[in-house]
Amino acid sequence: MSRGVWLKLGVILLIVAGAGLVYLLLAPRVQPFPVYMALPRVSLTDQDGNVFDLSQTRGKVVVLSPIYTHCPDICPLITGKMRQIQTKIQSDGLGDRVRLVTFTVDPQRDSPEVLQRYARAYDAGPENWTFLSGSTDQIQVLISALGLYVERVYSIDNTLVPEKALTSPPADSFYLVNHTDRIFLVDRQGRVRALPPGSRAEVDEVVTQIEQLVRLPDEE
Amino acid sequence: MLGLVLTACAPRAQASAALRVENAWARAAAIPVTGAQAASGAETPSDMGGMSGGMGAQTPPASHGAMPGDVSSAVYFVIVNDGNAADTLTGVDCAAADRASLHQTRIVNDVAEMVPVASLVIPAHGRVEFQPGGYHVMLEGLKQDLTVGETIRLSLRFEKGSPLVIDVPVRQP
Repeated sequence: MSRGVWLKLGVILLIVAGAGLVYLLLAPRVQPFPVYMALPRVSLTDQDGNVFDLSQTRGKVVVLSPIYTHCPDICPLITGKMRQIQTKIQSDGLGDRVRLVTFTVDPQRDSPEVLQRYARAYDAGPENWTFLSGSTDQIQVLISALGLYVERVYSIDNTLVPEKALTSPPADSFYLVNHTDRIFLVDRQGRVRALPPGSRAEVDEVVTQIEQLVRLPDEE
Repeated sequence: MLGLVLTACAPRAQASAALRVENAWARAAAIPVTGAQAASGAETPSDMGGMSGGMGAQTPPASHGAMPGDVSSAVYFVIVNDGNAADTLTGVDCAAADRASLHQTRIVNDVAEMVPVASLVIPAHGRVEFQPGGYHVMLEGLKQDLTVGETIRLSLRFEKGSPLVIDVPVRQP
């Protein structure tokens, strides 16, 4: 063959290789689902006052959201997203394979009764959505295991003062809680596999991840 | 004289011609029934946007739960400035709460933080949105239930213009 033919063949091969590389880079891939952490073994209290051990959720995909009920702005968004997620998974026929769990990062104010009112306010279907409180120590176990940032800020003289800046927090002062804005997606073996951005989460994307986790083989 | 009295008693309308408010709403919230109220048979209003329940009497001693005076909510709206000059929102008043203040939620490294806002410029021919996850009026220490279908009165103070008084409908959370 002439040199020109070899040159043409070489160019064609380069184009094919380039197209293959572009395909590999752009082709849709299966969500990888790394293991971030494991749910701790801790007994909490649900909105009806019953003991609820997180190990009870094994065998189901768990959608876990931290909130506090005095939160004026962000937590209502998070719980609103959870409500939308519940509606979608129910309509997709996954209601019995997925459990939603909302837990308070402010157990001092959020008793089970307070959480029950909160759940009703958001029309949270109790069939697969549980709201958890507990002692400060019990909740701290969960906060630590999930790596959550939680900090009280006190409302004093129209300013917000972080607790760490106070030698002694004022009794009976109103406080807010700065906290991590995340939802935790947990596989059937109790491992956190995805971290949607809480109040900013796209519900359709989260539901897609939940559906993938439901189908994920146990060994993965 | 009679005219003067009638004028004084008339509902305060939008006083600043250049500024107006659109799409205002407040998030429903209910002050919990205390143990004493529950024991005396006091009832929770029937339409609390789903927040009724009257369960305060069952609050265990380990957790005092939400008590009257520390229930909060938020108000959202859009301020529109139709004028040729900017003005500055300097504060807010609301008789339905112990304190009403301007706040902004910020997400920093995935942590939601509340930041007080001292003032906010409303640009000429511009608009500033108060919405969930951003600017909002925080109502701290509610004095009354915020019930779906009812309204609360809010007064917005400005640097130049007269206060804007608005009646804000309460919506589901």
